[in-house]
Amino acid sequence: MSDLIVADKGAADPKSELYVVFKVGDAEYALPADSVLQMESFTGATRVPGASPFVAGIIQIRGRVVPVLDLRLRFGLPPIPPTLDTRVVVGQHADRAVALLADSAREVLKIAPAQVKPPPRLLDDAASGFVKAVAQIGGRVVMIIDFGKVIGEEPLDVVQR
Amino acid sequence: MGERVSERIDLRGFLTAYLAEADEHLAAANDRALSIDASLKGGAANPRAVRDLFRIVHTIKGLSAMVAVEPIVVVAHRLESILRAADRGASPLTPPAVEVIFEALRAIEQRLRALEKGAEVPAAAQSLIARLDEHARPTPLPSAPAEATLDLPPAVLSKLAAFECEQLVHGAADGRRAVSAEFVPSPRKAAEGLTINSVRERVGSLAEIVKVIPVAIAPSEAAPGGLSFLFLLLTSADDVEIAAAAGCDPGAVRPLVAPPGAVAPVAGGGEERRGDGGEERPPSDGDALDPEVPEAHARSVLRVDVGRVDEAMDRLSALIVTRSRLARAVSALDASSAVVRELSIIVQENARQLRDLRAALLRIRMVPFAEVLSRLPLILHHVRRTSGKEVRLETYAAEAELDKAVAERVFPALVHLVRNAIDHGMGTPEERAREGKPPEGTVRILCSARSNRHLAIQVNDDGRGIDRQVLARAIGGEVPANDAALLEVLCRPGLSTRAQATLTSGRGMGMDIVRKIVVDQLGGDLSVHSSPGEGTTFTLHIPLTVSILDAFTVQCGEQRFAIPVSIVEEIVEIDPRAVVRGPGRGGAEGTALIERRGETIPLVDLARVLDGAAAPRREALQALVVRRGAEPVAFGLERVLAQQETVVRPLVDPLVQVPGIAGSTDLGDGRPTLVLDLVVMVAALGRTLRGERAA
Repeated sequence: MSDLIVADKGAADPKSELYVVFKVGDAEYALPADSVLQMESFTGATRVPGASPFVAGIIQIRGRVVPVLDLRLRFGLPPIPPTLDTRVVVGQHADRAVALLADSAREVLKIAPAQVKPPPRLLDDAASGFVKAVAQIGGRVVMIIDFGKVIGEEPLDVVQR
Repeated sequence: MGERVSERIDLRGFLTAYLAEADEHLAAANDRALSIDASLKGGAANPRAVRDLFRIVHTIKGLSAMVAVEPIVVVAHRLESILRAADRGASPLTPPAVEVIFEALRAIEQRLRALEKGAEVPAAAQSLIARLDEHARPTPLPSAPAEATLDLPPAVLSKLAAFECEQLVHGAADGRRAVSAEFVPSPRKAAEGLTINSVRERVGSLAEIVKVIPVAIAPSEAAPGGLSFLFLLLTSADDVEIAAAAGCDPGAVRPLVAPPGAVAPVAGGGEERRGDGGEERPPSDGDALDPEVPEAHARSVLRVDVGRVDEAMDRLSALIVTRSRLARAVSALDASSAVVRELSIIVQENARQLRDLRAALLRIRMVPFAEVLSRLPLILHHVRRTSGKEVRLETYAAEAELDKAVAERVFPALVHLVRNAIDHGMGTPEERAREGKPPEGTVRILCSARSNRHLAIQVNDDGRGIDRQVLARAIGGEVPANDAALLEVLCRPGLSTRAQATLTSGRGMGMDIVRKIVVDQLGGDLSVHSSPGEGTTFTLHIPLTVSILDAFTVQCGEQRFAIPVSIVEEIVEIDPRAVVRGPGRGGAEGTALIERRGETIPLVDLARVLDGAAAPRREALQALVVRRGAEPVAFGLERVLAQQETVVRPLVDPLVQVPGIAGSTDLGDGRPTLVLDLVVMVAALGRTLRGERAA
């Protein structure tokens, strides 16, 4: 994570929280830093036949086996081959650890509560509740994702062969 | 950021410890509540269980307050008030009060589960709080016992709880005598075999011991320890017998209950000692001297977070991976004709040691099956109450143990089966009487070790059996011809909703879930046998551990997989010219067949089983023959690469739970390799084929 840039824009407000920001397609998304366990370059995953199409497979991180969820596919974008910038962001939700596959991830931002707004209703409908809030930072729009919804809080129906 | 993460992890660690401890206390609390309930049904109070429960609830409250789980504190606090009142005899427990206690314990349990999931802990329902408050209000003491009084010095009386006084007075009213006997220990008596323990035993055979109170006395020749024990007893034996048992003079046996209207009030002493109840110290069972505290047996048990054992297991896995690299290096040396005899012996020795270490670690994770079953009576209690049926649960667990992870998974399946047996299989007492059966139904759980790796669990009821006709009507299909077909119907997802409305004697609720747990998650086997009028038996075969195994590594398309050696009957070479293809339907290709030792075996392409029609066609060069029941299937693949020991880790995340994928393993390349359970795949194939035929 040494290549991360820590920006300090929201630093004035003591209630600011740290967020890990990553890109999927042209859009920027964020996850609270305290739910992020780790970030790594992506060197490929072991495919799991029969799992949902947006599951890229499983990887082993520090001895732990975690599923990798391809955010491009989850968010309805066409797949692209991994590049040097591709990152896995391993997040923790309750007792689950799931890696999110993002096009790049290089920033940790301090975001003040005042900068965070609920998502516009239309966005929310289209994004099936994946976006929990929207932060406006300078001219940028960063979508804070609902990690639980993205990874599916309820056990998914097993895809039948 | 690093700091924040570690802070969070610390809290989780703390919560884990809290949850483990709270769960343990809750299990004990449920156990006590059940004994109170049982005693109450028999028309008796169970003061010891009430006191235990009081103490346990107090502990739960304290623990919960420490981690600031307010909703649990709120419930536990009120529960405690009810129990305190009951313990003091101010407000004996009534059946409705016991129901509220069960409900409160359930509410606590639900909140613990929420906490465990990391979810918001909901506040307690107002209705529950209101009912708890209602029962916590002390009702006036029945006047009868106040008539009689106990003839004891105030110092001794103050050591007695109200219920104990009551017990003595009532016992005396019922025709037994309430007496006290004093035992003064001394070296001389000890030499004759008279110690507090032996005296306790001897007196206990003649009388009901209500309490033993240690009393400090002036040291003398007869009492060099300056200590005596006052036994408070209910007995039908005479003073001489009691004196002989207690090793004292008959004169030291004194009646306790004086004629009505004399001396001290009954409940006075206990109240005084405990103060006004504003500050609730849990009642310690008397003094340090009290010989009754039965704690010693628990001391040799170590409670360890499963995570720590898993961590050790992970370290061991790494060691095993290193060992297989070492073994490979040695065989490479051997191939280059170096002298490796000594080295080979060391590597073998090392392998044996690792196997032993692994076995030792696995043993740590084993829990007695009886412990798993001990949680069932509580569930039975609820079902009994809601269904109005009389049911007895008999469990025969013997010494069987199984891995904690397996135990946790199999428990919900057992709950389903027991619930179904009562809800659907069992009639009401009246119905049963008409069937000529005892009004009380019996659910039996038998458990036997099938081998040292498998456990067979049978859940059997003496209900009506499953009515196949009714079942067939409910699903709009054929009447299942045999037990296997019956199971298929029962395990159809969604049977439950229709079944509940139309099936009075069948069962089907959640059977698909039961099968998913047993077959898909645990790699076991589920079967059923049902005879009309006689009842139904479900049999579960489950592995004891989810652990390390010998596996073939195979190449299939681009991917490598590991397949447990134990399930493979044979590896066969495929001669493409000898493969026969059966007739296809609707443009689909027919099933390929091969012949092996006079048996015709379907040959399926593993890549196609995994990826469907999308998989590119390849000529299978080798196949693994797997058998499920009597049904053999050959899985064609490119080739078998090697056989090696692998550490299987289950894939627990719902995103990657797929039937037939038993877990993942590290073959030494730092990447996960999927472990396939081909037996489950045969089952899934069978289901798909049957489904296609039915469609």
